[in-house]
Amino acid sequence: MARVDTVALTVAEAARLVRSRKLSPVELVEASLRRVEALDRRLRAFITVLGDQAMAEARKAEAEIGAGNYKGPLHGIPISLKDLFYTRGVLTTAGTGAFDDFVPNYDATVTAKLKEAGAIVIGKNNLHELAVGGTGENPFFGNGQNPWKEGYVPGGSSSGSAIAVATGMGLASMGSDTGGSIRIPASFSGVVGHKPTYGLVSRYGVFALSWTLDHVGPLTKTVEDAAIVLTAVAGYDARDSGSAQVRRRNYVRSLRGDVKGLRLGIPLDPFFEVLDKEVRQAVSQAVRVMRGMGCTTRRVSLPTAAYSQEIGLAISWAETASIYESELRARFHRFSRAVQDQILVGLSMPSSVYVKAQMARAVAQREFHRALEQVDLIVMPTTAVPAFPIGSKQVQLGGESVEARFLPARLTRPSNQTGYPALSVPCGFTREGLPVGLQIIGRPFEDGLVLRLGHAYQQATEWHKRNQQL
Amino acid sequence: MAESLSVEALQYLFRQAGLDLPPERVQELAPSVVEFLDRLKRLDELDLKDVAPAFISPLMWK
Repeated sequence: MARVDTVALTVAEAARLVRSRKLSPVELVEASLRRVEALDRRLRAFITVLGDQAMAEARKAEAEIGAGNYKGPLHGIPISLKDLFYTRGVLTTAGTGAFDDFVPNYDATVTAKLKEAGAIVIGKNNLHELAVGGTGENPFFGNGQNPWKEGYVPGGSSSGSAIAVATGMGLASMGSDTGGSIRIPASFSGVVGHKPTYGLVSRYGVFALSWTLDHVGPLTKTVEDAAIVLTAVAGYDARDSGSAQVRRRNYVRSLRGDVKGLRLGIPLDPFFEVLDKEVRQAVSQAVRVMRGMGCTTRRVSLPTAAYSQEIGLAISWAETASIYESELRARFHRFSRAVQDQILVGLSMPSSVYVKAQMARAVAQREFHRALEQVDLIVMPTTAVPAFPIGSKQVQLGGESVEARFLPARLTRPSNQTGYPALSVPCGFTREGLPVGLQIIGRPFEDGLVLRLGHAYQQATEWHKRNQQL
Repeated sequence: MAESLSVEALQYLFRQAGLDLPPERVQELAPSVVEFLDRLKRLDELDLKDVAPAFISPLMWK
């Protein structure tokens, strides 16, 4: 049999082959581990690789499926987890030296659900230290490299997750998103990233960054794959205080509906107009494709989004400081200087500023709510710029030099503040060959509709089928 | 602006959090604190009269 090519293979395709026993989980896992072996020294997608354990699980899955006990579309599928999801008995570092010896004694709810669904965890993904940045640079475990252009950032904080999926080091990964950390690396690295509605997926057993902004969700090659993973991990969990009691759904079924007649909102406040030229072109073309699919478009106004950086920084830095205050006391010198500084600055912030940010957040939520009364979905770029060189301090945008560390989250933060579902789908490439992402935002718990439009767009385009030359 | 934030005041704040940092470390950090708080002053441009903070609302969806 020819060697399995995990670069082009999707979860959905692999599942069909595994179910019909045309492809063995052992071959799939071996192929994924070969990619890790060949590429990861350069790309830095993994902190821990679970080679032997994954092969043992693959043999077990092969036997189960051979005996007629097929569990579903994730059975025997190699996946990875951002290294802040607890994995029982396996190192879980949160990407920081402060936790480089931490081995949890239980699985995160998401980890457990994926294992129950038969998925095989091949390793733990690299990330921006403690998930506090959008580039994927990491002083402890190496800077993640953009799979389309080495020397460029892959996007973060779920950097390793995006790199792994883009390059076939596993077929899907789970990330977390506090200001854009699933969607930014999805956009910069050319994969799909879905931040589900706040409360839809449990965060129990996931290193927290900000209780009111944190979300977890999948990174995959296609929207169909994201729907498969979401179906497995969504659901109420009493151990997560933000978990929502909503009916469980099959999100793959949600993909089947029509998109003709969907009303799409395009935010056209000045804030949204400041874009890299090639990003603007790619997103405008994507909107034209959607019009061609029968969607209609109209302008929507979201003026408070222009303050989303200040709102997000005030809330997340204060909450991060509160969460890690005792850890900073206990392990001060094991955090990088940048993370030490962020926690210390957060500790210095007056509580009145935190409350003011939460008030501004209420105004932003109201604007999104009103906009989504007029339209079914909002579409916009995921990031205002494509990936930039590693180590950049400033990046040019709209004729101005802006801080590179805050730029990636410019257009993703608002959906963390509203809690509304948001998806990033590849929608083009720059002349330099760097991916561009389109962001689709929906009403709370209408993740199925968000995924349906993203899936329909992928059926009409080929961007997600392009592979890197590595 | 930096003169309005004394090292002693910051050190006191950090001591409240159980962090006894040397003055030179706090001195180096002070400009970042000032820059951060100045950045957040932009929130004062918003009309937040009679607005209730949002931080509970996502939790109320359950």
